[in-house]
Amino acid sequence: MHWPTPTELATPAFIVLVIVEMLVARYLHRGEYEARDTATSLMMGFGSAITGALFAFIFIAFAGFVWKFRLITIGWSWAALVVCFVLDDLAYYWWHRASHRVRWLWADHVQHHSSQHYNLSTALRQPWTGFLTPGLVFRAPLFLIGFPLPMVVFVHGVNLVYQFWIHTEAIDRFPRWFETVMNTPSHHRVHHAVNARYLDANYAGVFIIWDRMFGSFVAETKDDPPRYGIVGNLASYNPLKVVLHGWVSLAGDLASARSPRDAALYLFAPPGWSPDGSRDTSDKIKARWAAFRTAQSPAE
Amino acid sequence: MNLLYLAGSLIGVAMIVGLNLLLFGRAKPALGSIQSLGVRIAADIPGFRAGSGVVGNDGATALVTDDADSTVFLVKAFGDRLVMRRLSRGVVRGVSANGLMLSLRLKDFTLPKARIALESEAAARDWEARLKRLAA
Repeated sequence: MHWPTPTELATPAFIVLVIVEMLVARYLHRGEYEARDTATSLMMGFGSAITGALFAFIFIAFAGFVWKFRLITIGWSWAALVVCFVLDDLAYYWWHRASHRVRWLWADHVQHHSSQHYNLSTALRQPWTGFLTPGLVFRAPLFLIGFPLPMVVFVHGVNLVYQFWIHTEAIDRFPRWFETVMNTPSHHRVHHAVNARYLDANYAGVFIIWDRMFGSFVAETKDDPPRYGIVGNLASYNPLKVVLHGWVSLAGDLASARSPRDAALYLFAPPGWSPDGSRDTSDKIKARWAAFRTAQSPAE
Repeated sequence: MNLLYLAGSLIGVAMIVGLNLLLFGRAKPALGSIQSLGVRIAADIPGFRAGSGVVGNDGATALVTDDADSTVFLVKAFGDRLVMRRLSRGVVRGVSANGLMLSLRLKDFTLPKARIALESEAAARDWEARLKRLAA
């Protein structure tokens, strides 16, 4: 069976929707665009497609190896496709959560979060260096269960296409039932925000229920509009600097590590961890913000 | 993926960026006053209150001090947004004043240098002395 590539099929729609959103931002003032930021995001998407194709053999070899140890052999059926889609989204949730909480994975994923804008072009700001991380192990359970590689690749492509349209400020909220089950622009704005209350939240790909189940859901509030980007925003539009900055920072820390334990923690502890605790992790930022709020309004 | 797909993608990128420029123009960097910068910094750093500070003559770079502990923040316009760095020991590699121009060298991959033109040579020398303590 020939499986189509959802992201390639959707590319014309991506372009049209970016243009539509740009017009909405310009004439209805819902959303913001900056030309150099847009250029960087789009070139990141372009480069990601190339590196993804160049290094796909690693994923294929890994999947083929793991599939040898499968529990059952799952053939094509609509039911299998639906189950595979849901389980792939669950795997995505844990990969995404780890990508924010493990410095090694963050060095790659930070590239997607590096824009201070939040629009459909941001969705295309994709990392180039996934092959340098162990991120593919999160999909191993799918192959161990017995889902074939083409099916997993297809449902993951559909997942990524879904995630494109939620990168927007042009849409406010959907009906409650939809916001309860599905990842939406509102939920994902929270995920891209650097406001202390929103840090490390809403890791979902398609179904926000994973965040509700695993305690990482935070709702967007009108009195704290999201500010986008990363803690310590980049001062460059150069895609190569966007790609490298996380890795340069990690390599510098590993080179200066005074013990194997420190080196391991630089790799596996949350971003911002340092041996002397002088830097800010998201947990520290949130704790400081909570303490400040308590001090400001002790009656709350 | 083939060459046609790649070429088409690049043309698409160029068209979208061109349309972005046409619709929104090019962002003009403007930081505003020290007080407004203080509000912006306080959004990221709870409890921050702007103390002394200076906005460069170009309106695109500023130094702002936290009233509570005298920490200095470098703020730089970046497109229609801004970037901010806490100038702590280990971040500042070097500082020099030359006439009105204060130059900073930072341990920062995307912001290795910053230049800020101040309104007087005395102000530049004053900030140089304050920031040199961090570089020592």
